Amino acid sequence: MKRMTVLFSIIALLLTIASFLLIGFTLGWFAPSVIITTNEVAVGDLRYSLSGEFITSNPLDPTVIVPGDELLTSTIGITNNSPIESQLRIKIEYTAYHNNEGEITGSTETYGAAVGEPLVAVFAFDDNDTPDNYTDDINFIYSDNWWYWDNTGYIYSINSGSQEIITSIFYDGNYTGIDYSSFDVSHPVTVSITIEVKQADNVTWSGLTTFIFTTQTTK
Amino acid sequence: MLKKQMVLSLTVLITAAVLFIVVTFAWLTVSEIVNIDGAFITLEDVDATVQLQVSTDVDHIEYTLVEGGISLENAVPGDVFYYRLLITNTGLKPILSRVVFNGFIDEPANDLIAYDEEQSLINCIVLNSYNTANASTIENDLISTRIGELSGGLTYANASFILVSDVDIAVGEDEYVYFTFTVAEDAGNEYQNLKLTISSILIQSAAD
Repeated sequence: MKRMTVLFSIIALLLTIASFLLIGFTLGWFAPSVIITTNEVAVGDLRYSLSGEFITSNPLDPTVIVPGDELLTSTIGITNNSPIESQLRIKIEYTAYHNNEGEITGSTETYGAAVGEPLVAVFAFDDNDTPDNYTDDINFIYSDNWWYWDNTGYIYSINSGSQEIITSIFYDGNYTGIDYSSFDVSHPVTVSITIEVKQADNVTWSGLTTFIFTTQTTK
Repeated sequence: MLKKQMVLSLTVLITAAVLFIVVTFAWLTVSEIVNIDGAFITLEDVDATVQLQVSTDVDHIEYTLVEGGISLENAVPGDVFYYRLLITNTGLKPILSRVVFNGFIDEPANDLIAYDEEQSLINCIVLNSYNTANASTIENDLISTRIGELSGGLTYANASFILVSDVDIAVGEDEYVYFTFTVAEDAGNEYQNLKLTISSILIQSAAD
């Protein structure tokens, strides 16, 4: 008899639950839902590959350079396969020496293609006529220590492909005096090219690479 | 004592059985009103259809039907994507609808390209929303803000948030729920190549 009581109770409970479910659907407490599945939001990415390099200099047997020596063995360039529009900028820094009443001091300068700078960087598409005209016809413009690709908004289009950037770098003998030589002390020289990229309209720049050339001139 | 319990359980069983039979009549009857021996039960026919629509024109006036779900590729910081849900009350009673976003899963957009697995797009996608039925709005909230703090054991993959609720829709009428996704303008390159999958957008309706 006890088992029958339990059985009746269980059946009554199930019937009650089923009844309330039916009432719920009947009175519209529960209504069919609409589900939209597979919703995806994906952001793009930057895909650049690099080419070009400086001449090599062994720290134990430093390469001696003189004004006019080409510091690149191949043109610095990029290949852009990004699926989104992007921006790129370049900074060129180099060692300069100054003679202050016989005292030679070195400093790190940023290349801005100003007349009188001891370093010359020849950008691709430069007409390369004379030192004073190195900045003619280039496709980069200089602003706040950085060189920007000069087109509308400085934007590289999607999959813009390969592009040469800097074809030549050398110290200009017209503005590189005896202060750079090494009579009695060592005068190290460093030239670096830093390339940064970002997504268009994104305010945050991200380092892509830095090419560095360093040589330790001998006494 | 045992006999009393037996009688009581039998009484409950019979009552439950009668209740079940009555509501079964109501459910199975197609007519709007069910008359069982003078007792009237109103059958609430609640139903709604939903369309997901997207706007790509400059002024965001024209919207077109989206087949399937949301699909955005190669978004960049500052991009804004305009969507709306067209909810139509096709039933016989006014309804209240709500829209729920469920399940947020991060993964690389392209498996062959590097990405930062520590980052999540829920922290850089900004949500805005309003609707034509009530004054409820969402203004410049990150998805992570809408989800809120996860309680114990819950992951973003099974988390959810309500985009809007209490969308009151009269019989035969339409209401629109507008929402936009904005990739935050200050989103850095650390968010590159990420994809956020929203497992489902659930639109639920019930009789008002």
